[in-house]
Amino acid sequence: MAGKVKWVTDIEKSVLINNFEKRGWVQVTENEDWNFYWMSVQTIRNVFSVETGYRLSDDQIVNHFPNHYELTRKDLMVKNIKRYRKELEKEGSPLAEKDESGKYLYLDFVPVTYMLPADYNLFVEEFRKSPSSTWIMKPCGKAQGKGIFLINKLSQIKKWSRDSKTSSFMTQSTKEAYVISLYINNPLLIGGRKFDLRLYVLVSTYRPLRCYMYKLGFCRFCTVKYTPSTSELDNMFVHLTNVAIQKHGEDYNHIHGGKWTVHNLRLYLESTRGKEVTSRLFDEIHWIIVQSLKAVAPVMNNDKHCFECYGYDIIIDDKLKPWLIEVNASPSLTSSTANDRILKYNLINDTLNIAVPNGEIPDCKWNKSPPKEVLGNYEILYDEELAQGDGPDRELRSRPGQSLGPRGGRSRDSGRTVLTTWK
Amino acid sequence: MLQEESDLALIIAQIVQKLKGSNLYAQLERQAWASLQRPEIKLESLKEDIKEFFKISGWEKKLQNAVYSELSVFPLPSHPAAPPEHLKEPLVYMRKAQVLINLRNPNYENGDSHSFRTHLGLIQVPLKVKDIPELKEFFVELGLTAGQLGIDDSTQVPPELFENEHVRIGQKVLSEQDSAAAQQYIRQGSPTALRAELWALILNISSQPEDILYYEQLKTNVIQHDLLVDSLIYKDVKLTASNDDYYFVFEDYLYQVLLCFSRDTSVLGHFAYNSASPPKSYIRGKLGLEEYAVFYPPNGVIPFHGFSMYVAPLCFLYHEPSKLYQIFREMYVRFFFRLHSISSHPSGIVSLCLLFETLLQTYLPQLFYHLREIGAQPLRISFKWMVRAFSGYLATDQLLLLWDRILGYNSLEILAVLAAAVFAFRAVNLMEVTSLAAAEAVLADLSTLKVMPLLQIFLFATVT
Repeated sequence: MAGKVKWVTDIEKSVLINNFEKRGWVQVTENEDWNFYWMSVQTIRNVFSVETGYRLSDDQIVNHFPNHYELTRKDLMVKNIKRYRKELEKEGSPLAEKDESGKYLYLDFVPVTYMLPADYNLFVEEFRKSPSSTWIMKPCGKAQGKGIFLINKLSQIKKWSRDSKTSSFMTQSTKEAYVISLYINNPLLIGGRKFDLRLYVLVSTYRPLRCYMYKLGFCRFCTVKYTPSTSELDNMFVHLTNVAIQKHGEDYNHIHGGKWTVHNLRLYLESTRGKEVTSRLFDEIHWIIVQSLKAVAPVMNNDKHCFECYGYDIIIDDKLKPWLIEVNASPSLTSSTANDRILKYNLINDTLNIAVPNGEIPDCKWNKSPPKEVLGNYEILYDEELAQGDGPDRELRSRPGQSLGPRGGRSRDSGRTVLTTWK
Repeated sequence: MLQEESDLALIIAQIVQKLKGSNLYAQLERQAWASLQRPEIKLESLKEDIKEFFKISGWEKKLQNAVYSELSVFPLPSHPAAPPEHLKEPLVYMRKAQVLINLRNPNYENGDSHSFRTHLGLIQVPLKVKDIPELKEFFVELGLTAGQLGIDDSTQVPPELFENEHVRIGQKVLSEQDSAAAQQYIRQGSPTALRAELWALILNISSQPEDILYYEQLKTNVIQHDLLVDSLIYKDVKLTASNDDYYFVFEDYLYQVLLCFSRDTSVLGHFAYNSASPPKSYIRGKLGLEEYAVFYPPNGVIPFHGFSMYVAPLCFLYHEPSKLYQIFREMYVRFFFRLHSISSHPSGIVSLCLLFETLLQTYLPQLFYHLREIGAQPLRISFKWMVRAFSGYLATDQLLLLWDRILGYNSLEILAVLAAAVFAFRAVNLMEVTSLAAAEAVLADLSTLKVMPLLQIFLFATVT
């Protein structure tokens, strides 16, 4: 008997609630029997923590993987990617190929990063190699640009060195841990402004890896003209693209919210830089997203009750190289403009169509393979099952105008030279 | 025959005169002198050898492009005794109408209706505009049997059918550096990656060091002196481009370009063929004394609300400010100025309005009559689209496809045709409205329209 899906959420956002209601789902509380729970990251921690011994039944779905932080905490993401690279190197995979200066050819997509205070000495060594460089300090556990600052002198972070010397064991709570990354001070500027890319990626399972990219990502522009000048290092409006920060700038505009569609970006880049380099850029962006997911796949708890929609933040530098800045487990569902609201509403709608097929009471034993028609604005980014099943002569070239490869996905781990066609 | 020959001779003489003062002439002279060093240049056949050298080295092509460029804006040959005002505007009543109160041809009587059907629209001036058969001939490359970018490059169409070949031809046109060929080519649309270069070729813009220097000089002027019109520019940008989903990013570039534009006296040159005249200002206390008159602003063009939208779409193509500036300036003196000057030119705004109304009345008479009855004269809605060449109303990629055709046909008539096509497209909804406000609402959002299919259907697929 098909009853109505019972839903709970602790994120009171209209884009969510409207989507649940339009499906005729019934709202319940977390103490009752529920089928679908859109959780905050705090709740997922409790649900899957050892103490509570919570057991989800086959007809229950949640919107986070239990240890998503392996990807979404800045320090763990870097750690996992470093580990993944070393593993590939060890097994002699061509993916781990390096150039003459020791940089990875295909896997160098995260700026040089160290954990503080743990890696303080390693960081100092690196810092001294290029003392005029700028670094960005980010607290591991915060979001929306909170607590971030730029430094260009060692003295500015003496605090982290002092602490590591005086403590005999790790007393810091995870809240005080920071990562320090080489700041990308040559971002691609458009109209003289810095911007970053927010892309949404839905993962329905990690093993086999199945992920979808939302076609309608957007660029977030700073309201003030970019300058790498050291006098402006403290001006967050120049450097941080988070809407939460830009919203408070004098020039923030509520009509467009400082956002551009990825479609506009593509038109601009093709017109000013050419088609090949633009296609290559977008291919690389897809590549680094897939690689980041592959890096954490082995350590992810691939619980069948889970799916997750990540917000990927990417910065493009002036050589048209994309850099992965971070991955968000709870991308903001607040709408800053009318267009924004429509976009996020559709995002949730398409996400639910994939995660909860037909809007009916879920059964976690299903194969998580939705038919093409329900994808909406999502496109298959990578499907490990399909990739392994296909033969060696699979057509990899995609049509110009389509931003993603064919449905079969790409076989990056096959080690064949075909993967380097666009490099 | 004799008259045509002497007309041609006159045009040639005038163009030669114009080009003699140009930078290209100086370059050609230098090149000719330098070429004397070359072994293949022989004294006995000096003239032919230098000509041959010019042909091979591409300089002849540059000269060809320059001549072609001049021809594009050259007014039609006129009687040798015609005064210069005639070059600006041949019709006397149009000239007198520069301070516009009422535009009326004194020779024309409304009773004479068999030659000019009763016109229900707002424009009551009998200018010659094309009808659909003439438009079909004029826009023949937009026909159903020819491939188009904006239609035949959509994702459902395999690229082998048209797109790939078209791109290949575009690359060839660029490597040949032939303005005339580029103009013909772009009638079927330009591939995104080639558009910036193609437009530059058609407009005959090549960024020489002198041009960059000139632009830097203008920028210095901006820093040194303020002009009152600067405030108009700031206000305009803040009200229009800054609120636009596509163009807000380029706010700083718009200021740069427009502030420099106001100070650029070379723009005054276009008043030779513009029916309007630049406003004059007099040194304090010397009102009326011509020796103390200056053009104000220095470029003779007072910006108005929406002016920055002429520049904004170009920012998607040119990220280098001096190139962006040159392209905009040329687009203005070739096309945009006609959208806000009163003239009888077929691309002038008056003719465009009349063309729009005539097309609508002839081919959608029921709709026209209905709208007129409810107090929603169609021109009241479409005027703003045409004045801005649809900038800010269409999605940028569609707008660029439209402007491709403006360049390709060297005419703004396509704006009127598109305006009529939009009305035709939304005719069903428009027939149901009962007020001007409701009609405006139906036509408020054009951002989802695809211009090429609309144009094709209106011109070639509607039963006339």
